[in-house]
Amino acid sequence: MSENEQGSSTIYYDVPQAIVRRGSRFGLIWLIPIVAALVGIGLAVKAIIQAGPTITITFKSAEGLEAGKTRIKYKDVEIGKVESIRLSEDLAHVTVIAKMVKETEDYLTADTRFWVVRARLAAGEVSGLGTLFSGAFIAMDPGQPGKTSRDFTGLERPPVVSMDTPGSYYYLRAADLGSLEIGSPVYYRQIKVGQVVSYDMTDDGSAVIIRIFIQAPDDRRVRENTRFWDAGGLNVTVDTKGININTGSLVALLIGGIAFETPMNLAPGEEAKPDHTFILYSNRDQIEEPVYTSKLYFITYFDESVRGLVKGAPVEFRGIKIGQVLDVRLEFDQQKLVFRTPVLMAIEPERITSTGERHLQSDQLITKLISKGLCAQLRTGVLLTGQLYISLSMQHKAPPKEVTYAGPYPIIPAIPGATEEITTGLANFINRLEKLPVEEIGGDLSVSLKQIKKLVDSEQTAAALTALGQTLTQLQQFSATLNTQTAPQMSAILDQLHLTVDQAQKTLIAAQNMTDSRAPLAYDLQQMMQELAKAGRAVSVLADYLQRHPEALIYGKGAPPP
Amino acid sequence: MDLDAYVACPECDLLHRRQTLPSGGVAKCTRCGAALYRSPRNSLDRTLAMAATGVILLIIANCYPFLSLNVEGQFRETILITGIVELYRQGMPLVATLVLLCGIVFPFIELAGLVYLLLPLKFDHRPWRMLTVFLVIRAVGPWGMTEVYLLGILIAIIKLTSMADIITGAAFYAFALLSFVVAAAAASLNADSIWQRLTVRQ
Repeated sequence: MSENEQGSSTIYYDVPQAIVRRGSRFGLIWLIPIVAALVGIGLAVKAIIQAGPTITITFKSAEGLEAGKTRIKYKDVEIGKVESIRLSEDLAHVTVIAKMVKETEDYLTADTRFWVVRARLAAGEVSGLGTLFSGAFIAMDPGQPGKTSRDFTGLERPPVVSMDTPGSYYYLRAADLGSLEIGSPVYYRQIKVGQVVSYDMTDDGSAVIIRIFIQAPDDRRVRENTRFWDAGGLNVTVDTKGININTGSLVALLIGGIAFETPMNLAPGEEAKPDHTFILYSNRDQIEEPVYTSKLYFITYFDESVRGLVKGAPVEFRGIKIGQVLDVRLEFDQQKLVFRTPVLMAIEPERITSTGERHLQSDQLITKLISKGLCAQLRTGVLLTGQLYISLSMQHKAPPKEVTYAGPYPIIPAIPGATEEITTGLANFINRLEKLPVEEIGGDLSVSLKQIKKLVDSEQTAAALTALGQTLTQLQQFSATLNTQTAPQMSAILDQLHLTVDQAQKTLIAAQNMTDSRAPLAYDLQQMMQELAKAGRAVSVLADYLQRHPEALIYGKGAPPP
Repeated sequence: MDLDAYVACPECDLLHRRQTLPSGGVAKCTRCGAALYRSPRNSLDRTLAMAATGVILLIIANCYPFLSLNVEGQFRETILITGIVELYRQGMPLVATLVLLCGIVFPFIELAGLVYLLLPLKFDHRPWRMLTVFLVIRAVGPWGMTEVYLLGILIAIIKLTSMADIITGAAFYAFALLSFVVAAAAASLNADSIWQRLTVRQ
């Protein structure tokens, strides 16, 4: 249209009308929305393609976890994100729903492990300190490719060994766990080469199975005859050798540890296969004892107390250990109503070097020895601890015996132990004391006393006593007369004696003055003096006698009084 | 009188006769110099393309991660709406509503409305309630402030870069583009041609 045409209403029909051609509906401008749409679609497709699996992980607690924020990481690379956290229906645990990246798809298998990484102090190691600032995250340990899984149970503590660490797992069978923990180190020549991964009880609860991981290349050191022992804690053993204290490193002391070694006295065995089960010895000494493969079992019935006799107590012959006690029991014979203490012991014949031509099997040999008088005796090993051991000896005096058997085991006869001898002696003494007829004696005594009493109480005794009293009075009277009549005469005699002695003294002094002591006269005088003294003594004896027996003056010496 | 033959100045209301413009030309008021109408060439197409792009970008901007912040291991990923939700949570519902309307809702209404209007027109159909929709677009247009929102975000990012690692996501770029696309759509929209079509087909 032009301005002129617009202004007039005239139409020139002979002017040809231009061919109207529609413009292209899709100009270049449409590239912009197309590109935008392509980008948008591209992003969407990428998001859909890259969308990894959604998994659920069950944890005991969602401590530190936040929906939409908590990451799932592997080697510190983000591989997923927690989308939501829900409580389980029974409120026992929480279910974490997480979106993983696509690359993890192949590794989300049944043995994939998840755990929450928080700051923790365990097994002598500090880990996850970074999470103090960044918040907890979930770590993943990819599983071996296999059956894929989407539901996982989160571990409550980080696994000790990640799947990609090269090495081997082994099992240890132990009587108890001791001070071991998950993560406790395993040492080889005091170098840490592995860790305790898990532990569990056997189904019957009789032992603990400990799973350990030995990292490559040290897992080559584990041979089939390798011995493992508990190197942790403070190991105090009290046995017949005394008190023995054994400790490992300080870390092992705190958190326990296991050590292993292949004993040098054995030929190095085959390399142990993974998951081989070993025995965990409780200390190093045990592994160093040479192992004797052949064992002979015997039973001895002791009638005495076996207090202090423990399993593993040595069996010695002339002070050399040849075996050990395996079991100590108490048996009760219901028919005979007696108790017996069977002690099962194992003797290792390989400990004994035998000379001479060997024509008997060792078990036959021992039974032969038993018939020749092999006896077992309980002896005290360490007086302080009261530990007992069994000493075998040959009692040639004993008459040859037929070997008896208790089940499959031959019986070694018991002889009383050293302690037993003393106690037996004492018991015998007491027995003898007990056998004294104390009651009989007592009975007799009481009978005698009764008779005496009867005698004392009788009239005859009373009469006799009266007569005795009369006699005594008479005697008194008699002695009084003696006193009044005889005594003055006596004193007169004595006075005369005194005079005589005085005169003699005077004579003697005179003689002394007259004579020299060396003169023969002096000797004579001395003799004479002695004679005189004798005479004096005789007089004195006489006087005594007279004093006691004044009647002698009347009746003469030796005559009995009436 | 053929009303279509005349056009009134939107500023001073002086009536002019219409005339064919050269490609890319502008008809201006003889009195005040205001633009009366532009060359209609491709105006509809361009606006529709821009509006469609805008809608796509807006969808992208709302669906994909916008910004990721990493402050000392504290990791935070946001989408476009996160900031508004945070404002609301922090007790500023009015501000949040305003940002939501100006930043997202109004631009979306404008762009979607344009697509709704222009797509049928392009194929010579008349959309339902065309006048109402066009009036709404005209009313909402000035309130679409994606560029303001973008500027605010840019300032925040610049301030935060010293404290945190910031990773911009796809949504961020989509939103940045969106503010240009919205402007382009508004610029290329020839309201006159819409009015013309409104009157012609009534």
